[in-house]
Amino acid sequence: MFPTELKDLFFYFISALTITTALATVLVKNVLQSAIFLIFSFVATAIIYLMLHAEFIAISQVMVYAGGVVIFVIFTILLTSHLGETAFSTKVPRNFIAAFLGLSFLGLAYRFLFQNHSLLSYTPSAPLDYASLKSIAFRLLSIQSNGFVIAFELIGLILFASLIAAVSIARKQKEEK
Amino acid sequence: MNNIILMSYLSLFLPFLAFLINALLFHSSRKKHAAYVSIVLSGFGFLSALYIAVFYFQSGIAPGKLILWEHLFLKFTDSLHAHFAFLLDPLSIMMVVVVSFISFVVNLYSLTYMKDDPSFSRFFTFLSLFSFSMLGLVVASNLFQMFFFWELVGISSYLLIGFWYQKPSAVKASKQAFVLTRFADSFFLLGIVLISYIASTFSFETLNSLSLSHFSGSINLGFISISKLQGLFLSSILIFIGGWGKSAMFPMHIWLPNAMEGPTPVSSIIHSATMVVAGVYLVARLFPFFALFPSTLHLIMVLGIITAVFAAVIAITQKDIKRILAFSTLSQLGYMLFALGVTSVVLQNESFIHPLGYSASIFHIFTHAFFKCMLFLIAGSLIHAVHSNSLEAMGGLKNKMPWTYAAAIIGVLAISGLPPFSGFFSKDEILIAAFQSEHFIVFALALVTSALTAFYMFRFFFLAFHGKPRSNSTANVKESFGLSFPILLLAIPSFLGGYAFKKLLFQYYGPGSNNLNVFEKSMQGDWIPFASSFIVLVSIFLAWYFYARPYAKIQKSLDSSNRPRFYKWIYHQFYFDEIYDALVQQFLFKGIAQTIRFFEDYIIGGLLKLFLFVIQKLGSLVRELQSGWTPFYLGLMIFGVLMWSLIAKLPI
Amino acid sequence: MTLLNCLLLSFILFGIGVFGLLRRRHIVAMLISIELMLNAANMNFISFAYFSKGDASAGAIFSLFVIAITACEMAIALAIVIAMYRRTHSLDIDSLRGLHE
Repeated sequence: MFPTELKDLFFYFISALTITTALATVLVKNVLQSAIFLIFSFVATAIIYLMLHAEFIAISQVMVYAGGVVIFVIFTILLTSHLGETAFSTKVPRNFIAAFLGLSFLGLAYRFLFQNHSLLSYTPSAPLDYASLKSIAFRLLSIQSNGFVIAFELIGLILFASLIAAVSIARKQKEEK
Repeated sequence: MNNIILMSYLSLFLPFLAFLINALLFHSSRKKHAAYVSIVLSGFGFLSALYIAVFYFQSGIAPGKLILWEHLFLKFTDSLHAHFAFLLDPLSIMMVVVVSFISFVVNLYSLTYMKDDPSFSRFFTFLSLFSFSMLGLVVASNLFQMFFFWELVGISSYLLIGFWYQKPSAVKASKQAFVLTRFADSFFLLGIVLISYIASTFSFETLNSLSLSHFSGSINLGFISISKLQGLFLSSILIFIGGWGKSAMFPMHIWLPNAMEGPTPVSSIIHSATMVVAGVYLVARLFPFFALFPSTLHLIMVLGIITAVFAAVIAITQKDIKRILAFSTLSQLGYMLFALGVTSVVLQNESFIHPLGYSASIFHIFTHAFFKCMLFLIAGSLIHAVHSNSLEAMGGLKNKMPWTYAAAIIGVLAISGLPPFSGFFSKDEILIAAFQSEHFIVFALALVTSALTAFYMFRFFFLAFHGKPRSNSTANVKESFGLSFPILLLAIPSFLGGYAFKKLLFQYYGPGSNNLNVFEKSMQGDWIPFASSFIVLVSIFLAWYFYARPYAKIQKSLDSSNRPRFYKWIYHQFYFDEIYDALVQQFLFKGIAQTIRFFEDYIIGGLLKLFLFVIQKLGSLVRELQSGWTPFYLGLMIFGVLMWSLIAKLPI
Repeated sequence: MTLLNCLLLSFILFGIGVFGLLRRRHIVAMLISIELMLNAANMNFISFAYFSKGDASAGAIFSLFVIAITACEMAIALAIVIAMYRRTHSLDIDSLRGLHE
């Protein structure tokens, strides 16, 4: 789709965009704003999925995360915080510790990625349609030994149950008047 | 035979039954009941003991040993068992009869003597327990049972001496008696452990027939290795130390005079035939075993004669009548012990046993029990009448207490040893034994002691009964029949006991072992009874001269202020109480106890406090962790994941 | 664009998620940070699916599962947030210490 060098460049650009929006998500004070930034971050991630030839996942990402979950979050924010104006300030030491723990994942990255030379030997080797709707659907619903039909059913059950649970939890109890 | 076994159970357990009934049913209100229970049951106990004695001497078993019944008590190893048994032999049956008789008489006496005491029933409870433990001690067939009842005697005597626990002096005296005898008993227990380890038996019969040639090799005591013979010798000394403390031999004697703080019937029963002769009884019981070690017998002899002279000297100066009798008891115990000791004769590097001393000692236990018990009861009557212990408050009681006076004559003559009173026979046997075994120094000291004994006893007698009343309280004294009757009961054996028992003595009371190297006597000593009687008469005359002649200066002789220093030394019993006090105060309390206290307070306590501090800090740390603050939990979780992935070896 | 790049990106996103999770006091903001972390995990799945020689479709399917589970989790979490808000009128995690007692 892209020339190789250009593709790399584009990847870096999108990565930078993802990281920036993610950072913005975390750093802005207003919760509503961070939810909006989260949508951008998810969309940017979806673009990276597209670059990894996982079109169906990218679409799901956009539809479920950006279109579903984050909208849900925004609804919640609006329900509770009146346009998210309640911002809580945090103290410097806590920010510092949080930053330290977050940065230490870079240390993990150093240890597990840069010192692990076997990672360099990986090249794009998946078939191009590995994440197409067709192949995913076949694998998901297959009853062969490599199928995921039981997991699929379970996920469906969990989704169903959790939606009912969410409704019952969030419902106004009659006693509370 | 079944009869006898039943009787033996009765004679041993009737006092125990009285103890149980009194302790469980009559411990508080119903006053007289407790006394009646004790008197009736101890009376029946005495009768059954008498029945056993008559049967034993008539059936022809005597002087053989008989174990009437035996129950397994404790199994230490496969071969070492402790039994609970009733041993019947001349020595034990004599003791059983004497102890149950004395116990009966003292119970009877206490009915009147203690009648105004608020803890009337408690007294009889303890008295019955004491009788039971003493009976259990004398019928023991093995060292373990003996030790068991030995300790029971110790605890019940502690309870009795400290009966008037409101009095600090009584509490102090009971503690002292308890601690001192326990100190000695710890050695006794060590001796038992050692001997049961070496000879692997507790039984007296086996121990008394030990043959030294069977013991070779050595044993390891942990820090030192000694040969088995040395071990046996050591255990004989250790066992004797138990008797040393119990019989209050010098210098562990101080608990005995102080034990006079108890009620007088208690002094009477403890110091006549029971607790204090337990030490003598122990040596007599194991005599063939002790006879294997002449050195031990020598130690016994030396201790005995020292105590006899020492206590007799102190008794002369005392003014408290109970103390006079207490020191007299000490002196007489010394007599009995050295009589056991003089049996050992060493001639030309060969040791012999002269059995007369053994018989004489047992004889003296027998006679002494009656007259000393009686004298204590007389003293109790005097105290009851005059309300004072001191001779200074008495005098002239002859006409007011005629029965007591008559009994007192018998008592003092018996203890002084004039014929035909009981003390004469036993004392003479002891003197003859000392003379025949050629221990002449001991013999001379014993003669001196007998003179001193006559002197202080008649001093007591004259000052209490003769002369003019020296205080107002003696004026309206009445004799109480409840007190005089038991005294008169005891007067009979005090008077006739010696003559009656002497026949039995030579027939049955030998050391009872055939592997002894018996000493053939070379000297007769027929003159000794005359000499000793003469000396006693001179002593009595001197006592009369000082304290009862028409113009005797009694006030002056009772005044102890203008006396030479030596007299004061004696009067204060050579300051042994003070020495013990100083030793205990300075050495035990200030030296050892304070060091240990320091260790306890600062080192052990400090360690504990340190642990406490650390644990508290740890606890509060953990408590702080459980703050309920979710970000903290999350942070810790992430930190944990990081640590896990950084430290753990992941399969990459 | 190599596996290393993708994984590094996912690590960085995860670290940002941790950072946000720990520093935010608003419960919904913490949930958003959790979304970021899950997203980073998802990216790991896809990257390995694309670059490794194994069963590629399985990786893609697992990322679908992750998305579905995330949806469940968010539904319940937001329901809880609403219930909690009704009860305490506060969404400050620092003031919610009821677990402590």
